[in-house]
Order: sequence, then C-alpha cells, then structure tokens
Amino acid sequence: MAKTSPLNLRMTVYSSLFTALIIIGGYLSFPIPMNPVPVVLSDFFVLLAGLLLGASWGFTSVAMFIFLGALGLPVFAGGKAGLAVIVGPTGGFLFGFLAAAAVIGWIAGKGKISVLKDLVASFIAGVIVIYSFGVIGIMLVLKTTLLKALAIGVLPFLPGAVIKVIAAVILAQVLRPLLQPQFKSNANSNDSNDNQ
Amino acid sequence: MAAINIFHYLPGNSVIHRIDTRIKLVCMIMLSITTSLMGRVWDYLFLTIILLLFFWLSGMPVPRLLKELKYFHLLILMIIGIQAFSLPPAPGAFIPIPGFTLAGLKSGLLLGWRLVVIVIICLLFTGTTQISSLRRAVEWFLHFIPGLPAARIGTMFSLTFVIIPLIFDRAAEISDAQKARCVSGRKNPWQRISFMVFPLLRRTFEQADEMAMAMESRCYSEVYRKTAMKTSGYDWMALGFTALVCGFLFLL
Repeated sequence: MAKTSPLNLRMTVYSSLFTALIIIGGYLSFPIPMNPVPVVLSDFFVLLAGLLLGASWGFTSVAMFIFLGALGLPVFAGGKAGLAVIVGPTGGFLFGFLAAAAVIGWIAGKGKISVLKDLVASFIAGVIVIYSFGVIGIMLVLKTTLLKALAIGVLPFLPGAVIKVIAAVILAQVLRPLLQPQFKSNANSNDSNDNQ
Repeated sequence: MAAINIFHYLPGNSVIHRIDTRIKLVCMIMLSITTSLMGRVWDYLFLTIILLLFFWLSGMPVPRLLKELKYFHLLILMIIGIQAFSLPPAPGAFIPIPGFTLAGLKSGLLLGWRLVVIVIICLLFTGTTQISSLRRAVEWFLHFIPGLPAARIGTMFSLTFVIIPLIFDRAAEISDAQKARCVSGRKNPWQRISFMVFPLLRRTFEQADEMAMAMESRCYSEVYRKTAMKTSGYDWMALGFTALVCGFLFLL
C-alpha cells in the first residue's frame, strides 16, 4: 500500500489546522453600522497561513475554507454559508484571501527568510491584494462607483488591516521555529532515502 | 479533561446515527442553505421544532451539550448586543438608551437564533457521524470530478472537523489556567490578548504535529481499502423528509 510522505502528511494536517483557524476567525466577526462588510479575523489567519505554510499549502487552506462554505457549511463570517455569500458583496474578499495566501507565500518563501520580507509580503497581500479583490467584488455586486466601494470596503478596515499585518508578522517569527525543524528533518530524510 | 466536547462523535445506534453519511451530508447542506436564506420568525420556529425532534431521535444528552455550549451562549449574547446598538433609529421612535434600537434588537435576536439553529444542525451531524465515515462520504462525492485529489480533500475535510473543537478545548484550558494565575485581572487588553494567543497557537501547533505523527505511525495512506457504502429505503425517506421541510420553508 502506498504510504503518504511524512512531509506531505504534516502539511496536510497544518493546512487543515489553518482552515480551522480561518473558520474560527470568521466567527469572531463584528458588524459595522450601515456597512455590509463585517470586521473579521479570517484575513489575519490567511496571512499567517501564507507566511508559515508557503504559497501552495496556504492556497490549499483557503481553498478548503471556501469549498466548505460553498457546500453550505456555516464557515463564513458570522456563521453564513452557501454560494450566495461567494457571489455576494463580500465574495470578492474570499477570492482575495485565495490570491493573498498564494502571493504572500510566494514572496515570503523566495530566498532567505527575513522579517522585512515577511512585512512587505504581508502588506502587499494583506492590504493591497485582499482589498483590491474586495473592492472589485463590491463594485460588481452592488453596482457602485470606485469611491463608494472604497468607502464601504476599505477605509473603515484600513487601521485594523495594518494591525493584523504587524501581528501576523510577529506571530510568524514566534511560530516558524516550531514548524521549520520538522520540515527540514523530513526533507533531509527524504533526500537521504532518495540517495540510497 | 477539557470543558468542551461538543462537535465530537457521540457513539450510539439511534435512527439518526444509522442514516448513510452521504445522505446525512446532503441533508445538512440543504438545512444549512435553508437557514442562511430564512428571514422570518415563523421559519426559525418551524425549523427549530423539526431540529429538536431530530435531536430527541438521536438520543444525544441535551443537558450536557447545553452546559458545554456556554461559550456559544456568550458569543450569541455578544452578537445580539452589537446588533442592538448598530442600526440607525427609526424616525419618531424614542428609546432612552443611546444608540439602542428595537430594529437592531430584533435583527440581533434573529441572527442569534440563526446561529443557534446552525449549531444544532452541526451538532446533529458531527455528534452522530464518525470522522472516518465522513471522510469516505466526501471522497465518494468528489470521485466524480476528474483530476481532484479526492482522498486528500476528504482527509482535510475530516481533519478540519476534528481540529475546530480541539482549538476550543485548548482555549478553554488556557483561559482556566490564566484565571488561576489572575491574568484575566490585568487591565492592559493587549497583554491579555497576547497571553492568550501565543500559548493557544503554540499548543495547537504542537497538537497538530502530534496528530501528524500519530497518523504517520499508523501508516496513514491516501490509498486504502474502502468499505462499501450502502443506502437503504430508510435513508431515502430521511432525504425526502428533509427536502420536504426545506421546500416548505422556501415556498411559504
């Protein structure tokens, strides 16, 4: 019977862990008066998934989260579910999460790990990518102008987004040593097995 | 032992336990979608009665589950409170509490009720379905789509369901430990959050690692001998009844 490689298995478990964290982050949502977009912690865990798991596994975590929501499980912000949310005003943010996890993982995973690179990657993904997708989604669904979409979907959340980016980078520095040794030892053992 | 055991499988042989997992999954999806589309008090009342009937049939210990749902009670109360103060007041209406509106309270109560209904649906599903069976059901549905790693998605699906209660378990443990050390009495909110978040994520990551090691040591494989899944007339009756309930709520 073919056994799944230890590295793949670990990444599958970690990826599921981040899917769970993104779901819990969505439950910790706070509505803003007169605004269809709530404040959530999901994007914070999306950034952390990209930073710690890399582009492909970070993307997988977010894709799993959207898949569960599309199936009708109450995983989106405030316990919402279904395709109606994906094609609704906040749907753009969900696609932004997908792109953000991939972008952040791609930038942060290139070359040597550094706090500055993590910060740049998190800022690009956490602020520019997520909110660009969000604004496009709001404009398409609510048929509003760019300025109004920015006022609804970006301005009230900008200070929070910056705090989330900084917090994600700090947490990534603390949590990365927990993940890295195992990945390195697994990768080394795989290499030595290949050489034999 | 951790305080929260909700969303764990509770062994039993009730009529709900015996329904084929694929049918149960479809029923849960239908009920979840219906819940997210409902908006009237009567809809919620009707669905709550039906779900409580299912709950009674499942034989799950209601008082114990209610006790373990105390964190959700707090969350729901918080949602009702936030909603009550987040809507603009109706013209001419005077309420002596600044920011409070009756429309906001009504909206908060409906949102809170919806969360309760969703929690009941999830409890019914996870409490009566084994994780291995859930994995096989997801795989079965996905094997129709070519090119998808159905086995891996099935594993991730079931792992996510396992991990969510584990995170709540750890959070409750850390919260209790902090209360014992008087950390909750600190005034600085950032300090309180960091004292909660760092150990929670650290412990959750360690547990995920232990989980991966346990799977590895048991020779986990994505290629395994699959048990045949069979549906009976009773399963189709359950699906038909759920479709009838959802259809009734959509049409009325």
